[in-house]
Amino acid sequence: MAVNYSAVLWNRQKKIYDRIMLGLIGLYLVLFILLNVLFFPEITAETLIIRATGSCAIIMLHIILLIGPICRLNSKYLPILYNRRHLGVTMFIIALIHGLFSMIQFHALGDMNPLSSLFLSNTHYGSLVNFPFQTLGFFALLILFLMAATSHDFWLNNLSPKIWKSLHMLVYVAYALLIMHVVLGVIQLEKSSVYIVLLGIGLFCVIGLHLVAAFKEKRVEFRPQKDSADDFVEVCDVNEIDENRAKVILVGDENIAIFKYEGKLSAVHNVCKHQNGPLGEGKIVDGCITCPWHGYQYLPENGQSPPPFKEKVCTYDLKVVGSKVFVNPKPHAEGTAVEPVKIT
Amino acid sequence: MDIVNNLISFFLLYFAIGFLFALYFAFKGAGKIDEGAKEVTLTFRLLIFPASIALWPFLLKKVMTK
Amino acid sequence: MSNQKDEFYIGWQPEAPDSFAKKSKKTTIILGVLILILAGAIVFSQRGFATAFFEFGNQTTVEGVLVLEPVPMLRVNDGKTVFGREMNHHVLLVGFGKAGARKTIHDIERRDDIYRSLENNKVRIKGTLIYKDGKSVLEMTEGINSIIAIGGKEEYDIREDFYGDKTLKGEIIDTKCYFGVMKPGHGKPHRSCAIRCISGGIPPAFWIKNEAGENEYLMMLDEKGQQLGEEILDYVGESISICGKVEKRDDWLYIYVDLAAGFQRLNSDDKLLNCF
Repeated sequence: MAVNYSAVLWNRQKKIYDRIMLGLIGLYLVLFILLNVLFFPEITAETLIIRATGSCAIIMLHIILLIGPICRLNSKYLPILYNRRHLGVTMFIIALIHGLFSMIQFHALGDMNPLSSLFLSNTHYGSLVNFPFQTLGFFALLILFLMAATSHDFWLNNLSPKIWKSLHMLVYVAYALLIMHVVLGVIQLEKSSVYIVLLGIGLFCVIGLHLVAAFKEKRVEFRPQKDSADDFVEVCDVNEIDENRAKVILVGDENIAIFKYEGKLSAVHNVCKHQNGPLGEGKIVDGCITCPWHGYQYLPENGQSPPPFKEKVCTYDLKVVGSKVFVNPKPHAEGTAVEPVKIT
Repeated sequence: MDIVNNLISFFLLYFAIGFLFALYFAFKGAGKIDEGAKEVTLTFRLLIFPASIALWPFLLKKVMTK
Repeated sequence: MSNQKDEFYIGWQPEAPDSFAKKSKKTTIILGVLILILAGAIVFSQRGFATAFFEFGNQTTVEGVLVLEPVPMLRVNDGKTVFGREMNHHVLLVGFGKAGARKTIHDIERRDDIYRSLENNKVRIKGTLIYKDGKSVLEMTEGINSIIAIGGKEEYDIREDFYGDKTLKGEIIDTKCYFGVMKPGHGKPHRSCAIRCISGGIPPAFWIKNEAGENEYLMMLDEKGQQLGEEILDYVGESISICGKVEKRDDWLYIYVDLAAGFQRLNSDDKLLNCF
C-alpha cells in the first residue's frame, strides 16, 4: 500500500463503476416510487420509503453475494468485483435508511424508548410465524454496519487480514437473517406468491452459484503426491504453463503459484496480501505478478511489491529436470529472494 | 424485560465510550499503530471514525501495546 | 480468440481490455432490465392500501361535547332529522404520537387557567383528522393547547342498542394507525407499532367483517366497561376469536370482552365473516 492512506484511491474505472451503480440504484428507486404513486396513490410516504429502500437493499445484497462465485466461474466479470466495496457500503446506507425509518415509524413517540420497544413490543420469540422479525433486521444491520465501517484497507491492515476476512464472512449470517426478516415480516401480510418466488430464486442463485464455483475449484485443484526421495515434488511439464501465467498446485497446506516468464520460472504463495485474491490466476504485467482482483503487484523473484508498496508473499524453491518442473513446498520467509530457474 | 433493558444500556454505554475513544483514535491513535495514517486527510479520519467507535476495546489494546 | 483469452483486467488502469469492457456493458444492460422487471413485479404484487386518510400538517377545528368514558370522544351534533330527533356522531380522540387522549385531556384539566373537570363540557378542539369507513378520529396534535375554547356542561341522551353475547372472529387494531396514520396499519409488519400504541393509551378496537363482507369496528372494553390495554397486548395484530357482550351507543359499537373466556388464535389469516 502507498505510504499515506487516502479516503478513496480514485481512478477512472472506479468512477465509471460508481456512476453505473448509482444510476441503476436511482433507476430502481425512481421507478419504484413512480409506479406506487401512479398505481397505489393511497400509500403513505413512510411506507413508500421503507419499502423502496428495503427492497433495493435486498436486491443489492443478492448481487453483492453473486459477484464472488460468478467471477470464479468466468474471469471476464472481474470488473464487477473490482469496486464491490463501494457497492457494499452503498447497500448499507440504503438499508440504514430503511432501518431508521422503520424505527421511527413503528417505535418512536411511544411509552418506551424505541430500542427497548424493538425487542419488547412483540414478544412471541417462541413462535415462528409470529416471531418479532424486526429484531432480525436489526442484527443484520449491525453486521452490515461493521462490514461497511471496516471497508477500508486501513482496517484490513490493522485488524489483520485474517480477522478482517472473518468479519466480512459474517455477510452470510446477515443474509440468512435478512431472508428470515422478509419471510417472517412483510410476506406474512403481503401474501403474493410473487414475493416468495422471487426470494426463492434469489436464494437458489446464491447457494447454487456458490456450490458450482466451489465444485469447479475442487475439480481443477492439482494435488501432486510428495516424492519421498527429497523435499521436491513433481508438478508438471514446463510446456503446460503459458507464458506470463501460472500453474497453481496444492501440497499439504501450501497453496503455490508457479509463474513462467522470459524463459524463467518462479514460485510464490498463491494468496494475495490484499484480500486473499488468487495470484495464480493473475498475469505478469511489466515484470510483476498482478493480482486479478485489485491489481496488487509482486516481483516474481522475491515476492515483494515494488516500492513504495510494502506487501510481501512467501517464495519457494524450484528445479527443472528435463522438461519436468519440481517445487519444494517448504516456504521461504515472505519477500525472500529466490533465483528464478532458467528453462533450457 | 430487565435483561433486555440492561443489555440496551450496556450497548449504549459501549458506544458512548467508543465515541470518545474514536475522537482520540481517528485523529491521533491511528497514526501510532500505522505509519500510513499519520498524515492523512480529514475525510480519511472521518471514514475510519465509525469503525473506531465499534471496535474500541480491540484498538485500545493495540494502541496501549505500541 | 487466443488474444482475447490472454487479455487481463487491471482495475487501476484507465481502460479495461475489450473483452472485459464488452462483458461489463452487457452486464449493465442485463442489470438495468432486471431492475425494471423487479421494480414492476414488487410494486404490482402489493395487495393494495386502505382508502384511509391522515390530514398530516393540516389541522381542523371540531366543536362538540367532551365525553371521557368509556373512551375519550367528542360528541358532535349533526342537527335534527325531519322528525325532530337529534343526530350525533362521535369523533374518537387520540393524543400526539403513540399516546391516548386521556393523558392529554388530564393535563389540560390541570392547566392553571382551567383547573376543573371538562367532562361533558362543550369544547372546541383543534387537531389533525384521521378517517376511514365513515369513522373519524382527531389527533390532539398540539397537546395541552389542543382545546381552544370551553363552554358549559351539556346533558345528552345516548341511543343504545343491545346485541347480547357474541363470539367474533377478527383482529385487534389500534384506532389511530388503522384509521389512517399508517398503511398498512394492521397485520404482522405493523404489530409492534399497534402494541406500542395500545400500550400508550390509544383505544383498541376489534376489526371484523360482517356477513356482507363489510368492515365493522368494536371498541374493546373489559367487563366493567373500562378501556382495555395491557391485558390484550399479546394478541394484537393476529387473527383471533373473542367473546363478550356487544352494544351500540349512538354511532359506535362496543364489546365488553369476556377476559376469563380468553382469546382463541385462529389458523387462517383471512378475515372470517361474522354473523352480525
